[in-house]
Amino acid sequence: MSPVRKTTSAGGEETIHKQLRRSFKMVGQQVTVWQEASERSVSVVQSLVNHAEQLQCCRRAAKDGCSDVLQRFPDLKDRLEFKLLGSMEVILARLKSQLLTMEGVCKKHTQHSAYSLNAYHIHYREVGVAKGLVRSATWPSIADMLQWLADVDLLYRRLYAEKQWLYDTISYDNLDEFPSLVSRWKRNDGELTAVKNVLAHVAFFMEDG
Amino acid sequence: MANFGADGDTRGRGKISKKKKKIQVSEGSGEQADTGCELMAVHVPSKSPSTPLQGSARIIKDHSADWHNYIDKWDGLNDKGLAVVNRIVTAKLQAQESSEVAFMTDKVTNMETDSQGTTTTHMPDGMEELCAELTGIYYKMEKLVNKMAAITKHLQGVSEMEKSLSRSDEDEQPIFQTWPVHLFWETSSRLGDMYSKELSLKKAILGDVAHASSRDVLMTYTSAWLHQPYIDNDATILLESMLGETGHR
Repeated sequence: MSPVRKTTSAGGEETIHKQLRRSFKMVGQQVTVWQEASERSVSVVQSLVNHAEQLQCCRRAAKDGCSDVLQRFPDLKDRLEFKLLGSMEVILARLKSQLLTMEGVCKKHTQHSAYSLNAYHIHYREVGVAKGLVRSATWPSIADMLQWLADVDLLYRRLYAEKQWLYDTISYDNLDEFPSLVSRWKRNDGELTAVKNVLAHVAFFMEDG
Repeated sequence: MANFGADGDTRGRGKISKKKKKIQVSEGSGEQADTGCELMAVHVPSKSPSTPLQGSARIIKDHSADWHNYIDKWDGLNDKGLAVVNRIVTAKLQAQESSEVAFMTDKVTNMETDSQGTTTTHMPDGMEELCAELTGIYYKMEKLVNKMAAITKHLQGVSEMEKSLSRSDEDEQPIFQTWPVHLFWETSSRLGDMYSKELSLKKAILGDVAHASSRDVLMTYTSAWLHQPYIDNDATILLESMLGETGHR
């Protein structure tokens, strides 16, 4: 699991700090990975919504029967629908690949959260509770940082689950729900500021390392 | 409104030059076996240069390249046409919206302002130019489809000629690798049918796009122009098979 070795009391604390630094470095790197995936996924969702709108218009126009062209080409509706659904399938595959990237981010956080907690578990007798709770003007306490790591992990898991749920509920039969999909997709993105806040809190700690 | 064409596939096929393909044909037909033996010697049946097959092979290979180039041009024209259709539809929808707003304000203020209300019956500005532009693009597409039909006719002739030359009890020999001549004709005919049907749809859209008023219908026209419903998904496979068979790929 973790590359932590048994050391003396001071060394134990240092080992925990080292692991925490590694973990927060990963958090900083993964923020951009998530953001890029999130931005790309929004444009993919927009494209999906666009296709759904075309599909809906096509169905409504065929139902109204007010178009000469649609009457002259009776198979046009089915053919166009086939083409649109084919394109939508391709778009959904692209969306799935973005979701997989996001899942990768979640996995990394869970892993690192476990690494850091494990480092603490190995050394908690040497370090002691008092030291684990000590914080300075620039450095947060070990307990705080472990908690933040767990919080960030949980946050990403929740955001990912929400997006995955939206993805799973996409249905070609409920075209009325598509227009609001973009806003529903972006709704929870604002919560990522919590991650940036955490990174700001550990900025001095990271610099000293 | 929806942004059409934002994620349309960009097929940069590139032009196949006749010069290149003529060289390959002469190699492929075994005329200059010493220069092209590395590439083509495996597939090519050894035929005497004096037989008409050399001519047929050349014609078929030329026409395969023509198909590629025509479809490439068609795609370019389709993109241009889509941009114009988009502008027409946007202009129409905007005009409708503004006339609705004018109608509403008219109703609310209850004033006799008939200057704005007249927009409902008139075409939006610049519509004529846009339609003329679209018509120009349509004519270019029509020319391409005529050229495609000419290829099919030519290939049909070649196929029938080959048939009459070979003995009737014998199976047709492949001309390049595996396809006998009539397959080239059939492929060309299938592709031609798709494009001519698509052209007739485009003609219908061209005729109605400036007159339709329903948003759904307008959006359907734009969507149909973009997605080309009468060109089946296997059109690419047919073309690629033809190019692969003749050694262009």
